[in-house]
Amino acid sequence: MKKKNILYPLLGLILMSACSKEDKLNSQSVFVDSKIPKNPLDNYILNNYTKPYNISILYKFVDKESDMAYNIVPATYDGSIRLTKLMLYSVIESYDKITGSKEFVKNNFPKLITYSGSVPVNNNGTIILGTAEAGRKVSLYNLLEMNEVNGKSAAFLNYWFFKTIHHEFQHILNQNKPYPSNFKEITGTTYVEDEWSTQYPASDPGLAVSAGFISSYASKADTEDFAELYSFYVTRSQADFDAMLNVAGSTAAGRALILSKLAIVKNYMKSSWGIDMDLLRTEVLDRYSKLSAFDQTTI
Amino acid sequence: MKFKLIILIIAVLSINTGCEKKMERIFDENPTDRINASVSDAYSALQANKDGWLIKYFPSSNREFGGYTLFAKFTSATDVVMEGERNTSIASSMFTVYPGAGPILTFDIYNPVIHYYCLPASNGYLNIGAKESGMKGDFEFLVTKASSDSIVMEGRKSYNRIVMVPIKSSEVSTIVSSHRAAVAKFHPLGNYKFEVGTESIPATFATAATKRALLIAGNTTPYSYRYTPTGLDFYTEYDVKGIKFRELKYVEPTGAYTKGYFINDAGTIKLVPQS
Repeated sequence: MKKKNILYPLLGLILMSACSKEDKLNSQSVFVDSKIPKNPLDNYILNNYTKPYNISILYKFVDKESDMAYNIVPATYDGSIRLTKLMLYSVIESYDKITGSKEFVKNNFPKLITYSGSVPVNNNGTIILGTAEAGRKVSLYNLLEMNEVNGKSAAFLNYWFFKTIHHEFQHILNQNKPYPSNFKEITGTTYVEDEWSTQYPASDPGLAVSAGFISSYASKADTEDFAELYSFYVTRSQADFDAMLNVAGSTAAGRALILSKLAIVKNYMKSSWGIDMDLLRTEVLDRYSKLSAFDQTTI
Repeated sequence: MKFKLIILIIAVLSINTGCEKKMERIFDENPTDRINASVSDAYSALQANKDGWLIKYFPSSNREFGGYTLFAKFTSATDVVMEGERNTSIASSMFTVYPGAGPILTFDIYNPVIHYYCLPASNGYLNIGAKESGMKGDFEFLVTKASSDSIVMEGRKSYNRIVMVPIKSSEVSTIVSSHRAAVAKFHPLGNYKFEVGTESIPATFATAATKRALLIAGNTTPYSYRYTPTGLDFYTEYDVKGIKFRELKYVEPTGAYTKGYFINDAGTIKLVPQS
């Protein structure tokens, strides 16, 4: 028994000595900061997006942030400057103005925005306008066409960039604070998931409206329906929104379904986030009306 | 007790072996230092030649669209000025070398000179190649060798070997125009046939829209080339009827060869345009 008492402490000591390491950790980190000098757009993004809002913009092509299934080319430097300035003015600062601070955007806006020059093209020739991943990243395409003329066009900016940004932003908002369950009950049995583009082709928007969807993509799922209603509403005038509702082939019954869902969206934004969508829309449209005089390039 | 002592001895021996730390290093520096050094070397090599580089550019892994000559001058650690043989425009953009499997050169801001070959075919971009992929060109390259006499790279999608050679100061004023002149002179030619001895082997264009890669009967690999001031420079060494060739030089029209012909240095194979 005495021998056993000696044996185990001895074994412990041997174990400790056997695994003792003489090497010291190298004081120099293996991660080396980039020595590439920052250009004016890098500094603009740092000062106007990253510092105030904790948002990164990758305007240069980064393969791991790109969809390698598509042949995509990088954005132009000039187009990147224009879009970066326009997005700040037309989207982010609209929210700042309505909420009274930068906190709302800082806490909720997608944290990573990537730019690409060309549009992802599928093998059937269809294209992708924009994509979002996990509520944190939004990919914007077609910056090859981001020039001075298009930078003054609210229709172009909405179609390619801003409506997509509002749409994805809405996903993040309602992931943080769920919208009322009665929303999906209104057209709950008629969502068609991945059949949305064939069941409600974009070439026949009246078909979607008559079924109670503001767009063909809104028919995919209630989450997309919610985000589509929100993003179309805040980026269009009442006249333009009414035109969507009254497009050829639409029906009164379909319009009624859409308007009842829209009321829930508006109520949700007001009660959950303190945002009056009509005031937000007024602010967005006011800024759109000033695009012709907006300086797109000075940074 | 004896059994326990044996166990103890085995345990101590195992632990001593298991904790052996003295591995022989293959390289003196750690991997991060080595990759950072190779990135730095690539940056230095790119900017070292002030007159720029001629790029032998071949898009698509099958190289069915042929090859093109591009010209790049890396004017700073971020900026590059490019020209091509497609038109006379000079375009500035940016580049980055970043660490990956080695130093990776990426033209990460749009430059029409190189990204033209990377655009999809549809949506108003190109009318060459498949709708979604166009000519399948690369704009990111793994640098496998960077020195003052050449920079050898591998396209990250196509794995094609892309070589950059330095432009000499004596040729800087003429090299771009001479390559454009070669395109203007040779590109209209067509309806080719190879002549080896007394044999005549018809060759068709792999892609009619680009006319820079030839197919012969029984061979599915396009013979891909780019135009040079002296003739045709092929992607690699090809073989027709046992005759290997890498470069064919143009001979002006003579006798029955009313459109001239291209011939190797040994004079054993001719590529003859019929129209």
